[in-house]
Amino acid sequence: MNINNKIIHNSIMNIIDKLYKLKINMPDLQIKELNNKIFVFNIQTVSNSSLSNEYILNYLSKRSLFKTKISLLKDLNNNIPSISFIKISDKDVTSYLFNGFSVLIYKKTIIAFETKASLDRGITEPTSEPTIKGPKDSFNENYNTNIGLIRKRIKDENLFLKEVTLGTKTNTKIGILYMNDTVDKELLNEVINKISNIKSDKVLDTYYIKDLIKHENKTTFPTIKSTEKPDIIAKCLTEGKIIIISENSNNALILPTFFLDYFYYDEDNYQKHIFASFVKIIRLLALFITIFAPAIYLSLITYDQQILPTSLLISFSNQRASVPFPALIEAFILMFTFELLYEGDALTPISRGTSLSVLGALVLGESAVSAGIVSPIMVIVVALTAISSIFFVYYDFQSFIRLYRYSLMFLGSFFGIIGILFGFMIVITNLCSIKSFGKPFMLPITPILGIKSKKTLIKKGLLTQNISKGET
Amino acid sequence: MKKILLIICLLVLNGCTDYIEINELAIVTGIGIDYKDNMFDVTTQLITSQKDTVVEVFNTKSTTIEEALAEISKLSNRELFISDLKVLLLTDNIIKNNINYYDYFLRNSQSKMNFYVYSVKDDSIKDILNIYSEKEGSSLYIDKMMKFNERIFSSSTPLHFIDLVKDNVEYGINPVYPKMVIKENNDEKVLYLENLVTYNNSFERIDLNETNSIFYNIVTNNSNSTVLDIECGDNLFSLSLKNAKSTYSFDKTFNIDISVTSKINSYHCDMDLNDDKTMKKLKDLSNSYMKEQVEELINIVKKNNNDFLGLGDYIYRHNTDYFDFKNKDWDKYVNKLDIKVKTDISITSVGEARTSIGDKYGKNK
Repeated sequence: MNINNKIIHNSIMNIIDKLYKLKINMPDLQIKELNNKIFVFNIQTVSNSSLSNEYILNYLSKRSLFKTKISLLKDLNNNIPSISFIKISDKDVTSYLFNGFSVLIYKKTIIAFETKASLDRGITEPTSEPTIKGPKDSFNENYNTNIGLIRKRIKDENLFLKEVTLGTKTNTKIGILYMNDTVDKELLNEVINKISNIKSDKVLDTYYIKDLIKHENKTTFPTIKSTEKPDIIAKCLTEGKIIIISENSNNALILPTFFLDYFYYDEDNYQKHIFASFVKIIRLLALFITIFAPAIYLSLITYDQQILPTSLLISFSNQRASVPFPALIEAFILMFTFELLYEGDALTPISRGTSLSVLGALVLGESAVSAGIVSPIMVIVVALTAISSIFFVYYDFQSFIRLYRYSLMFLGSFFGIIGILFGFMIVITNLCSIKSFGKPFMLPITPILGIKSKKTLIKKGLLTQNISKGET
Repeated sequence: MKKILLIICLLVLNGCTDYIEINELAIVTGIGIDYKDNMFDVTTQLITSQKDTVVEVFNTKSTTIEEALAEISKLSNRELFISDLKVLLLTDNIIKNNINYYDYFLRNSQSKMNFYVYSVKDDSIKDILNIYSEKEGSSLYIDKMMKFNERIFSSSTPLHFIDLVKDNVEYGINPVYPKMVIKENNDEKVLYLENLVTYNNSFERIDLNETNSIFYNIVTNNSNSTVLDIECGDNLFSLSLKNAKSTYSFDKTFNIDISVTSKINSYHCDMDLNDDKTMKKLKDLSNSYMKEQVEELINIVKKNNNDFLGLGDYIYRHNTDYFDFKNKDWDKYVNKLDIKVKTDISITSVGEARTSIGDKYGKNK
C-alpha cells in the first residue's frame, strides 16, 4: 500500500514537472502554486479565467485544506456546487487542459473543473443552403450546440450517440448519431469500423472524414451529402440514416446518400406534393441541361446539322458567320470565362460581388458578342448551362457536373451526337455501378424494388432508407 | 496510363470525319430539275450566311444530278447541305420522258426524303426560284403556302417525295402532283398554288379543276377542312366540311363510303331553317351533290385510263388474285371496274342566324 502510494505520488510529481517544462513553450499555460502543495493549472486561451478565479481560487483562499480531514472531493462538493468538476487520472491531465478545464492537483488527487471559454459564434442563419420557409437555424462550430440542435428536434431515447476521437495531433471529437430502432445495423457497423480505422494526424472538419471514408468507388459522384441545417439532419435520422458530426465543424455528414437525395430539398416539404414533384422534374431536367447542353450544341453545329429545323439552322448559321474560331475553341473560351467568374464570385467578399457580376455580364457577354469573338447563341447556351447548375448547391455535385460536362464537350466535338450518346452511356453505367456504403447508388430507380417502393418514389419523390430493411 | 493513351488516340486519330462548321454550309432549300437534250438542267436555290441570310440561285447542266450539284458547289464555293431541302420542282419533260431523277435523293444519306414535289411549266423553274430572293427565298415560302392550303382549303395535296416514289413503284396507283405557277397581281409577280395534275402510265397529262381537286382530297382522306357551295333551287348555300372520312371496300364491285360532318357557312335559300324538313332536304341535296362530284371524279379516272385514286392499289393489297397487276396494265382495265359511291353527310350546326336574311336586304347569289 505504501509502495503504491509512492508510485502515485511520483507520477503526480512527474506531471507537475512536465507541466512546468511545457510552460516554457506555452506561455498561455497558467500555473498557480499555493504552499508548494496545491497546484492549479489552466490554459488561459481556452479557459474562462474569471470562472477559475471566482470559484477555485476563491475557495482555496478561504479554506484551509491542510486542517480538514474529510476528502477533497467531499469538501469541494460542499463548498462549490455551482461548478462541475471530475476526478481524473494523471494520464488525462493534458487533454483536459487543452479542452479548457482547470486542473487542481493536491496530494494524490487530480481534479478537473469545467472552466471552458465559449469560443463559438452563436446560432446563425444557414449561408450555403438558404431557405425561405423552413427553420432558419444552422449548425455552428460547437460540438455540443450542434448535438443540442438535433436533440431539440428528436426527443427520443432511441437517438444514440457514439463518440470517437480522431487525429493523433488534433484529437478531434467525432460523433456518430443514429436512431437505434430504424438504423441498418450492418451499415452502422461498417461506418463505425471505417471511422475508427482512420489513421490521420489531423481531422479538422467533417470534410476530412468524408475524404477518408469514401474509398469504395472510382467515381467523381459524391456519395456522402453534407448539410448545415439541423432540420434536414433530424429528418434523415428518422429515416434511418447515419449522421456524423465533428468538433469545430458546422457541417454534418449524412450517409448513405443516394442519387435522388440530391434532388430533394427541404423546401419541398412546404409545398403541395404536385408542385414539389414538378420542381423535382425541373431539377432532373436541369441536371441534364447543365451536363449535356454545351456538348449537344457543339455537335449540332459541327456534325449533325440535319437534326435542326430549317429556320433554326439558318439563324444559327447567321449568328456564327462572323466568329473566327472553330466552335470548340469558342465554347471553351466562354466556358472558361464562366468558370473564372464562378470561382471568382465564390471567393469575393459580397461588397465586390456586384461589380464582378456587372463586369461579367457587360464586358464578357455583351462586348464579346459585338466584337465577334463568340456568337450570341453560344452565350445563351453557356448561360443556360450556368443557370441550370445553380440548382445543385452542393459543391461536390458541382465538380461532378463539371467533369462530365467537359468530357462530353470533347466527345461531342470529336464524334458528334454519337459521341454524346457514348458519353451518356458511360454516365449511366457509372451511376448504376456506384455503391454508397454497400447499397446501389441509384436506389430506388435501379435495381427495381417492386411496385410498393415505386409508388413511394412517385408519390413522395424521395427515398427512404427503410426500403433497405427487407424489400431489397 | 494505357487507358488515358487509348482515349487520347481515340480522340485524335478519328480525324473528325464529316466535321463542318454550320456557317460554312450552303443550305439547299429548293431544287428544280428539267431535262433537255439528254442533259439534266438543274437549278438550285441556296441559303448562305454572311452575317445576314443571302439567297442565291445557281443553274448548271450535266448528265447526272450528282455532277450538276457538285458543279453548283464549286460555283457557290461552299459545301451543299441538302437535308433541309423543301421543294423539288419537276417539269413536264422530266415526268413525260420517265427520267430517273429520284435515285440521287434516295441514295444520299443526307437527304431526308420528306420534301414536297411540285409540277411546274417547262421554263418557269428559274422564275419560281428567283422570286422573293430578297426575303427568305421562294422555297420556304412555297413550303408555308402548301401547309396553309392543306390546313384551310384542301384544294391541293402535298406530295411527299417518298410517297411519289412509292406511287411510282407500286401497282394500281398514279401520283398526283400539286402545280406551282407564277401569277400577276397588282403588277407584281406572286407564287400561286394551282390545282392538281396527274399522269397515267402512258404519261398523258390530266389537269384537275378545283372541285375535282377538293373531292380527290376527300376521297383519298387528305382533306382537313374545306368549303363546298351547293345549289338549292336558284340559290346557294355553303358548307364547311370537317372530319371527312372515306373508306374503300371491294367485293366484285368497288365501294367508296364517305362520311362527313359539316356546318352551314352561308345560307341564301328560301327554305326555313327552323323546319325539321328543311334540314332533311339540305342533307339530301348535299349528299346528292357530293355523290355527283365523286362520280365525276371516277368518270375522269375511267375516261383517261388513269387510276390516280389508288383503286387498283387497294385491290392489289386485298384481293391479289383479282387482276394480274405484274404483267398487265391496270390503267387500261380501270374503266371496267364497277364502282358504287355512298355518301353520308351530317349537318351539325346552322350558325347563329336561323333564316336567310337575303330577301330583305337585296338578292345575294
